[in-house]
Amino acid sequence: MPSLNLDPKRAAENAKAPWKSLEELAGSAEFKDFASHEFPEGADTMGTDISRRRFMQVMGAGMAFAGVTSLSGCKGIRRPEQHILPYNQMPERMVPGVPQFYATTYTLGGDAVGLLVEAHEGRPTKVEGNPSHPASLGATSKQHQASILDLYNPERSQVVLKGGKTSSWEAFWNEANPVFEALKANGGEGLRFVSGYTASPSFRAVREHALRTFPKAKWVAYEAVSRDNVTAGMYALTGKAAEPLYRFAKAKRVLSVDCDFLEAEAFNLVYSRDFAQGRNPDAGRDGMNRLYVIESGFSVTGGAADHRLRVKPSAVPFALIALARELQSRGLSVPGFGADLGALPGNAEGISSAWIKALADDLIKHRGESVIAVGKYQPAAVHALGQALNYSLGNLGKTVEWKVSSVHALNASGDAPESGLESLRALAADLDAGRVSALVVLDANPVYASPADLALGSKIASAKFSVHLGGEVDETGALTGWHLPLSHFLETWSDGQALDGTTSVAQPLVSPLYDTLDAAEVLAHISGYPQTTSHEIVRAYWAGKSGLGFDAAWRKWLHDGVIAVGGAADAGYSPAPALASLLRSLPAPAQGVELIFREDARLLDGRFANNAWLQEAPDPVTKLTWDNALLVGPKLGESLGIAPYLLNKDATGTTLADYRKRPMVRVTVNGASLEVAAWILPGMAEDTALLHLGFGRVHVGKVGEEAGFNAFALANSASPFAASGVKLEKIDRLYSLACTQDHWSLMGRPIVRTGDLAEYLEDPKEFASEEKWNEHPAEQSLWDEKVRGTYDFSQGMQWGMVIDLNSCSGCNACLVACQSENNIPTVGKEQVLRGREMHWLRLDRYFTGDVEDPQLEFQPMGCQQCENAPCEEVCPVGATVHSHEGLNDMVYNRCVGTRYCSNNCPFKVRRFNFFNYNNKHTETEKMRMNPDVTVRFRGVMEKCTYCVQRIQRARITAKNAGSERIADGAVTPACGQACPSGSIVFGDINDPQSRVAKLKAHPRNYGLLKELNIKPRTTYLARVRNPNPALASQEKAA
Amino acid sequence: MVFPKWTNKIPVILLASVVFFICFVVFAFAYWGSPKNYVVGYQPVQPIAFSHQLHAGQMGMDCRYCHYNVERGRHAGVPPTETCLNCHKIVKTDSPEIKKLVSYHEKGLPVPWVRVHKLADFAYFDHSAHVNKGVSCVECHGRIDQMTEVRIEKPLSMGWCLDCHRNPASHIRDRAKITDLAWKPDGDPAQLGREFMKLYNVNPRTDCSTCHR
Repeated sequence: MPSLNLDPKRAAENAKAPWKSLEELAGSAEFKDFASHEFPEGADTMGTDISRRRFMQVMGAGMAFAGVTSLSGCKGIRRPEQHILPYNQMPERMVPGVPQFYATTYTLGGDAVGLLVEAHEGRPTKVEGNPSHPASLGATSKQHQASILDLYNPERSQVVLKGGKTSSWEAFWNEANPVFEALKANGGEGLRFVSGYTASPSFRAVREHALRTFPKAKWVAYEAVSRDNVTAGMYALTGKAAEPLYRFAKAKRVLSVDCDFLEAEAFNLVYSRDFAQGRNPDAGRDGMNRLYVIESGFSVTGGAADHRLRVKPSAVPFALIALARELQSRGLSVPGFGADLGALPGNAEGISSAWIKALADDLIKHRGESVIAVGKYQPAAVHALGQALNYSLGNLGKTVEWKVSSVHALNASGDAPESGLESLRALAADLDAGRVSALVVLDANPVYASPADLALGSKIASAKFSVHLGGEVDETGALTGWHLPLSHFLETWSDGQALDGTTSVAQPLVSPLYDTLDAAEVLAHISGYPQTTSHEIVRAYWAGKSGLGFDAAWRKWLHDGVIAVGGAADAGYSPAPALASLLRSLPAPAQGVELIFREDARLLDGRFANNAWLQEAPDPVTKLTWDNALLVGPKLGESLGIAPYLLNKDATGTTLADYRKRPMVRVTVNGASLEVAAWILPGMAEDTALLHLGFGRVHVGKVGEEAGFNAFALANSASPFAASGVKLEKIDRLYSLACTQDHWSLMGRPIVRTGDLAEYLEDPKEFASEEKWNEHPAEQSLWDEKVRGTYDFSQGMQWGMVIDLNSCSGCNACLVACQSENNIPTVGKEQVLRGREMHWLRLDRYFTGDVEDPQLEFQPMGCQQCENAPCEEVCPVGATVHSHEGLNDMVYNRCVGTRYCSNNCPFKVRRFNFFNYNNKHTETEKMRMNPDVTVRFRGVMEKCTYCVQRIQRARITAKNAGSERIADGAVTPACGQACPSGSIVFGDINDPQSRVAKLKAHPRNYGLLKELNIKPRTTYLARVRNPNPALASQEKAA
Repeated sequence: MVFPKWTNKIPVILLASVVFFICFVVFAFAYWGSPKNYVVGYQPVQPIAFSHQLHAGQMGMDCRYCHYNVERGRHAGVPPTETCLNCHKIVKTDSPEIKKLVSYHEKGLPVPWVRVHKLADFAYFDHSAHVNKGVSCVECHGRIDQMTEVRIEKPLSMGWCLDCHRNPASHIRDRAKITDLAWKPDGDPAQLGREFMKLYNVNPRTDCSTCHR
């Protein structure tokens, strides 16, 4: 059997030093060869083995749609005639060239987040968070950022289709109206509606009206990945469909039970901010929070953990039960569960009792200031127990609040809300039995996003009349009789209610680009709702709530982006009698290999599969782009024969192309089997495999169609997110995986600095110092700094940035925000394989420690804006030069593409346009471009500019107002604005009162590669972990 | 005689042609190829024969009545058709040019004015930043108030921009006189300009990212 083949010397050196990949840790020759080239071999050729066609497809998704627009420009070769088209009637308050911001609301899966959207002359170009909305606090997720790309996607559904052929709304209503009239007459017998969960109060009103019009109809609300388990657990505990909300800012000790609250859970933007706030090492030994994580996969929350316990999926509930017992034995009463806890089977395998004991001690010591957070994939029983422990520990009302959910209404008899999966199963049964005559699918794709055993796709045909309303012709839309095009959320009115009850209006930024309707409008038509346009529906709903003075209130709501903050009712502790039996329903820990399914961090359940920004954004943990892969730990990988990772060296002889090719594995489970690429991810629980949902879609645009493997094909509705008894076998096939983890390697230089709180408190100055981390002789320049002449960096405004590694969760929102702000192209999988991804900002992910159980470090890395920049010294044409404010300017029109600058950049943050990535855009795609940033041509180098367009806009605004100084906080680069945890701070380092200047003076502040004397303007705050001394000493002993 | 007599002229003609050709090439590059010259004089025909000379010159309308945005935004702003109709609902309604204007308005179409002053796409010029610091319209656009049909007067090249960014004094004036295109300072314009530079805090920047992003 092949072995891990770790170079013991290098591995020992790396006990502390970070590594990015197993190949780097192993010190393999292939890795050294790969990393020593700036771009992998063959980067400047198009290649033959990988199809050029595929690249063109992805790049020019809309080539076929592009009209012949350029011919008219040929009239004057020197000076094409251009027209200025003024308005006939000027819109109010419009200043051409000055962007406008409108507040709106984004709803997804029953949650709502307030946004501010930037519009240039009426076309939305950029999404930001709304600081006054409590679910955003000014931050955005990568999905929010990327949603703008969907608006202008040329492959969007644009016309009504009947049986796949172009039709019209008129034809649809002509056929549909008699059907629905007949259904009205029989009370809606045989009518089924399918939708996702909705956070929109006005849509709920239309839905209620529809169900009154068709009393016998059934509404199937289904989300592939939902919070049903959370509400079911809370129902057992409180008698209400409720949601726990955590106040991490006040929590000193946090336990996450498979809860990825920094990224995957609802409210994660707020949780990230709050958690970062509680993680301040300057607050001292008792002030900084401590995070314990129990999980099977490896999430970014696991990466932020001080102590992470890897547990097999089926054993995760028993880890919490073990904790509850320990707490009980320390005198804590857990009402409702008391007797039950003792009766359960003993500790499951792999759960360290020392770990649980130390955790129990810690929690007991911090009653009323701890949080136990349970993840949405865990069964209801675990939620009930976790929240009961929160109650017993006195956290309720302090760090945890239970809020009545607005997503699930209890029925009249007060029964538990039906789970989405149950209603979908009922639909499948009804379809089978021929009980469905009309099927209306509103903005949902259950055919793809549901467990394979429901076989929904083969059943839809049994409904005589079926219609799908969606933003794309997806797997569901391809099977229904009719497909209707859906308006994008920036094209229609709506509203939303966040988990904490905050309500807000969603206003459109642009009228529909195509002849589309939104779900509320179609439903209103079908059910004869008094209002028919989305604007009327939303206004009428809120007019009924507001009464007098509605017009003034409405204008204020639209301006603020919030109707009312909070307002969800508290759910009190009132355990149901059934609580006791809940835990007994948990399946016993399984033997053998287990497989879990998780929502992809980027594509979610597949709804963003056709979004190139999200496909190309690397997964935060694996750094895979354009694909998912079966993730297994090194040990399991070894037993499968897919490690070592440098493949088939003896059989075929390793070449560089092979370095990026990975073995495939056949997964057999639940009676289904699937061949997937395998990826070794350090830190996975033993005997655990993880496959992300959302990939392998069939009916999707050109962007998503060849990306990844469909995990739903393996899922079973009895247990949709976990399976045991899994058979894995290596097959004789390789698959190219575009993983960016080894791109732009800094070859083990000490650029990530991290340590324990005790060390930090002992000597803060020493903690991140050069002497400790990077001993080097006095700095000397390779060139004469005086050549730079007039630059005096002590004068005027000097821009700088500080990135706090302690709070960065690694979520990648900054990367997508940067892509949106700076017109950065996507390049496609084949180009990423060649190391040509264009992201100006990359998120380096490092592992530290043991191969089986490492910790994660994240480091956002853009241009460091060196004062003494090496790139500038080698440019033969002066295309990259310094500004008086310390920016390293890039002048695209001077650049001739020698790439010397990139070669000389020690951080490898410069990106080269190998192809003309931007000339395939259709007219609609061009509309999403930020007009304040040049669109770059082939052969030009580009890189982070600190969003200089924002600096200039702020400067002109300040100067027009008569001020020479730009106020602190008036300029925030796109990355910093999107960052949920507020880790990126930007400003004038010459102003001692600015936030950034204060952080630069912080003892944890350090610059990279100081020995080169390049004086980077971006610096980092070293990361501090807060391990439990009781556990740390044990770990050392072990 | 093998060759006819006229062949004796061939070397002279050849020489003259070559000299002429070389001169032409040098002149062509120097003149049309130079950014200082190649846009000056561009004067396209506009869809409606609007005369700046009449409106801004004879009638003395302030530039900002139509170019309403010049102090607030990047673009000076071409007026919406409604602005024209503020007067032309009653003035000269029988003129064929005004009839054209009205017909655009009635059809809801924009008037397709032909763009005269155009910088490269990668140059981000901002009107407000200049006008608010005392740079008059005339500095870049010339005597628009004397042009019946607008043409380019100044080179609008990068070198020409930089000339002023490096030595702005003689191009800065009282903000109250911005749109007075005929205004001439009493005495040394540079002397006066320096005073206003101090008053308005004028420090033109020459970093690349000032204009290119």
